[in-house]
Formats: sequence, structure tokens, C-alpha cells
Amino acid sequence: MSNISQKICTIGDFAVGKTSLIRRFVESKFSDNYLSTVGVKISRKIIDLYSDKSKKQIKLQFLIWDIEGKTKFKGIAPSYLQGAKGAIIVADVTRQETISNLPEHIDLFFSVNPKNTKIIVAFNKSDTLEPEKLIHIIEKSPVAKDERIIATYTTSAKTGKNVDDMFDKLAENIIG
Amino acid sequence: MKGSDNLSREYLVVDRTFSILEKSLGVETFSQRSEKLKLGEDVRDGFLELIGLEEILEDIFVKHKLSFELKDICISSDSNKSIYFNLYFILENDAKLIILFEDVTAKNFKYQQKIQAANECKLLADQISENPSKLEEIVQSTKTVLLITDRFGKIHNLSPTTLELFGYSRKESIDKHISMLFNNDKLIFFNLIVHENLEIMCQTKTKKNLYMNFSSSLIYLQIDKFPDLIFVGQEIICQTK
Repeated sequence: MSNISQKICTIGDFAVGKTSLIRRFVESKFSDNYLSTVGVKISRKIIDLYSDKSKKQIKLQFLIWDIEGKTKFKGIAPSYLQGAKGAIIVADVTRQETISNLPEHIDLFFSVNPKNTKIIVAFNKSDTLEPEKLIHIIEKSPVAKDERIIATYTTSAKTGKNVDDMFDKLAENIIG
Repeated sequence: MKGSDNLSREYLVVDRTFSILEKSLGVETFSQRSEKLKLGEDVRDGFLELIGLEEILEDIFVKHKLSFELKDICISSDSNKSIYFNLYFILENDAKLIILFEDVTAKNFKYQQKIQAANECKLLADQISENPSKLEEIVQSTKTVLLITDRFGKIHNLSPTTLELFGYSRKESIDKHISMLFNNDKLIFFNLIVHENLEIMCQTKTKKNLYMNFSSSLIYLQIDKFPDLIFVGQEIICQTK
């Protein structure tokens, strides 16, 4: 079995649930208390997966950079994104502004990592909306037809909905 | 190694294959896998933060890049406290790269409290502006220090947490000027509106001083009316190492 380490990032506006998504994925935990992330915190999770490209079973060490969200006082530092093989761009379905800012975050990631990188968009806090409203929001989102994105997920760090699937999908696409 | 400004600084020296050649005594403080920080070992085993940076570090070795820095990296210490540090990568010579570690915990501990109040203020302002009918429910249920005033600073509403912390009753607070919390200094109120975030020495009803971080934002409760103001405060807790 091969061992590989890859860096990914979570990017988005403040309070969209980036830290909660990582915590749900890595520790299977959730807390309703909001604590703003400062700077960057790195989490680690080992994933076993099969690579179609190398026809081998792989042990992937996923290094997930939880990056401080964008506020009107402070943008996202591009240096944090250097060397990432993928990113999860997160929006909060209850705050339209965070959805409108998705293209800006995607552009920033690709400006730092233009080659061989994968992006997934997470519409988080999906447990707070009716399914019909959720579909409408996603269809109307500015990234609905963005071909740079490999997948979009409606997620809930609170319930765990789609969280593992989303990270697994990113892992599979990075490994190939 | 200690700087004159009392910031703790440590260092590592690595070769082009990222093997550790030298290390300062306290560099383990900044690693969550300090047992891996041995001379001759790959520095990335001890510092996962370096995984993914290989191309940039190679650019420094071949002098395509002079230096690189990563700021405000957060790790949890053994006692579960957050430690923040900056990383600086500088070429010593063709075969050696110095990695400098600078402890910035105190700065970020303070910044965290500031950004927490500012972000909570913005979230609550958006929530209330979107759903003015839920104002009362939001104000009563929040655990933060929260006040709603008109544009002149006259208090319309405030959270139970605010009343509890400052020792006033609801009756004593409604229709009073918010500067009653700021030692009756109305200039602080105006500064807070302009700057949106301020550290303020507040005073309770019993004249006890409270050092707080306050944020302000506009809220729109009624169409075609002047916006009101929301204030969110957080007591500043000094960090003890």
C-alpha cells in the first residue's frame, strides 16, 4: 500500500461553517458555539482509498487547512493556499452574500494553484432550509455553471449530511 | 532564542532534502509531533505545515524566491491551549535553509476576541435586518452582550446577558443613552460608530471597570426609516501563559 500526503484548504466567508465541516469529518463532532478562526489550523485524517490511476490501494494523509474566513476587515492570505491540491469552497445557504462571494474565492484559489487542482463547493447549513428552497438557491448561485468545479454538495456539519462523501470525493479526484 | 520584544523565537536548519541539520532548544514548542523532530529526520514529519510547500522551498534554494512566510499558524498545546506562530523561510547558503519560528500567541489571542465580537455583530445585524419580526426573540435568546439603539444612541432593546453583566434592570436601561456603559462618554459612542470596533473601558452600575471589545453595525428594522444600530460586546480576557 502506498502512503501519500496531500494538502487541501477550506475557503469561504466568516461563519459559514468551515471549521465545523472539518471537525465533523475528522472527529465526527459538532458544536453550535461559534468561535471565529484566526489564522490557520491544520487537521489531519488518514483515508484508505483505491487509485484507478495507479491501480493500487492508497493510504492518503489528508492535511486540511482551516483558513480564517474573509471579513470586510481582512481577506484570505494567498500564502495559505500555496501547494494545495484541492479546496472546499464553503457558503452558508442562509446568507446570500456568502454565496455571491463564491466566485471570488474560487478565482483566488486558482490564481495561486492554476494546475492540477480540484475544487468542490459546499452549500453548508442545509439543514436550516426546506429542500425546494435549497434547490432554488443552488440553481441560482453564481457557480451553478462553473466548469472548474468538480462537484457541489449541500452539507450540514450539524447533521453530518454529505460531509464524509464530499471529502471522499475530493480525495478520490486528487488521487485519480 | 529571545527577541528584544519578548517574542519567543526558535529555529531549524534543513538541507535541500528537508533533513534537519540543526535545531534550537525550544523549537518543539511549535510542533504537534515533537517526537519526530530529530536531527537527520525529515522536517515535514514534525511539521505537517510544510507538506505542500516543497516547490516554494525549492524555489528559495535555487534563488528564484528570496524568502517565504506563513503567518498565524495555530496549534493546540499539550494543555489544550492555542499557540500561534509565524514561519519564515530564509536561505542561509546554497545547501541550507533556515526556518524561523516566532510566537505570536498574545497578539492573536487579542485579535480573536476582536474578530469574534465583530463577526457576531455582523451576523446578528444581518439576521435581524432580514427578519425584523424576530428581533425580540434574537435579543432575548442571545448569550452575548447585545444592545439595539436608535441612531442617536438611545437604547431600545438589550439582551439579558447585558443586564446581568452591567447590573442594570431593563427599566433602568431602556431609553437611556448607551454611553451609560462607557462612563457617560458620548465621544466613545461616536467613535464606535465610525470605527465599528473599539476596545472600551466600560463601567457597571456599581462602578466596576470592565475592559470590553465592542462592535457596531447598522440594522434596518423598518423600510423608509433611518437605520438603527446594533452593538455587540465581549469582555477582554487577558491571556496568562
